[in-house]
Amino acid sequence: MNPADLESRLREDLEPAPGDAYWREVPSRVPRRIVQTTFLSTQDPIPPTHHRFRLTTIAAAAGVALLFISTLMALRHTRPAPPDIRAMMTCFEEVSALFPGRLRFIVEDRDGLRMDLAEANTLVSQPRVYLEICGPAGCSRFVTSSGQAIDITSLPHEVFIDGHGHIQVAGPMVLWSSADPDVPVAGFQIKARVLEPRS
Amino acid sequence: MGEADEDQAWIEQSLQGDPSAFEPLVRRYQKRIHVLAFRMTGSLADADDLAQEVFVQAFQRLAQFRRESRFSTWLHRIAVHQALHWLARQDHRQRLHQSWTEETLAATTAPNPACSEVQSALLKLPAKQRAAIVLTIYDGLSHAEAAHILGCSENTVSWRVFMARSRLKRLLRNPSPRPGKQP
Repeated sequence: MNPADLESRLREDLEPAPGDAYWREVPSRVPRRIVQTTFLSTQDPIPPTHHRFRLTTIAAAAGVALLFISTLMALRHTRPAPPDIRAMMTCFEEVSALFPGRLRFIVEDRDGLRMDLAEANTLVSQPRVYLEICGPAGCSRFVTSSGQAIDITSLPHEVFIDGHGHIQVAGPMVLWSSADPDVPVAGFQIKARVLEPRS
Repeated sequence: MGEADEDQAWIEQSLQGDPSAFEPLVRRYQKRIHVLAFRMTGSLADADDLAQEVFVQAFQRLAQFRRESRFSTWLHRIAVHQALHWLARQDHRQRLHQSWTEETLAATTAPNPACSEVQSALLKLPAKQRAAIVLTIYDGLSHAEAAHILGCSENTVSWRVFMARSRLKRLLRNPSPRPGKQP
């Protein structure tokens, strides 16, 4: 097969067309999605196809755990506004105990408190990290473990503690280190600290 | 008003914080971005999700568009990097799932019967070689333009294209048996 044959073979292979309705719908769907993801967002109301399996498998477990978290938080605060790191850490530890090796993070933002679980209990216990990330649309507070990924503007960002004990947040939108905490990052203000293990 | 001027006007409106001003830009470039996403992922559903995310990302980073290149080039750069990031995450997920069962692994790595022979061969290329082929063959870009989008040198693109072509020739000359087909 000479180079020209290969090129024409590749070009002649037509990609499947999604259909006219798709092309008409997407231009108006994108601005809606932009509004939803201006800042830290929740899951899509209609989840992407590749997340469906995961969402189905953990839905029941997540429901039980969310109920548990809500009850716990309600007992601890009458209003969720004042930051209470210890209460979030307690939540994190108690949900971790319910789902050993599966809790990636818990987050509290304007949409309430949510968690993110791995499909299988593959997560290794690491030091806990608290993060407060504020942007134009508000603040979100996370508790996670070093080495896990949190979602910032729907994109996964790794959170880890480096060899000097500094917290790093790294991903496609944000690159931040607690070694230079005041460096502005794409319009976000970030505060982070390593949480001491509970006695 | 030329395409570039129209793009610029829509960009200016979008930068005022109006996401609906972004709609005509999506309409103009959605097919090209979707083709790229499909060629990179091999799945129509994943391409739909990925293409949408590319436009969302583009809107969010619009202030970083320096007008040193065309908007389409800048958009392609975001699309390629999103696709490479997506593939890396898929790879990471597959490695995590390896601890499940052999059947699960087989199911995730089996060729998609809906893919054409050419697309199946493309999916066997390393991601960066695939990106080089998609940009130069399907988008018709020069190696220099592809290098600009991929953030590497023109020589690197030429090398990736050369390696990819060699592999594609082998794969398309001796295609692996498709599922469901009897010898």
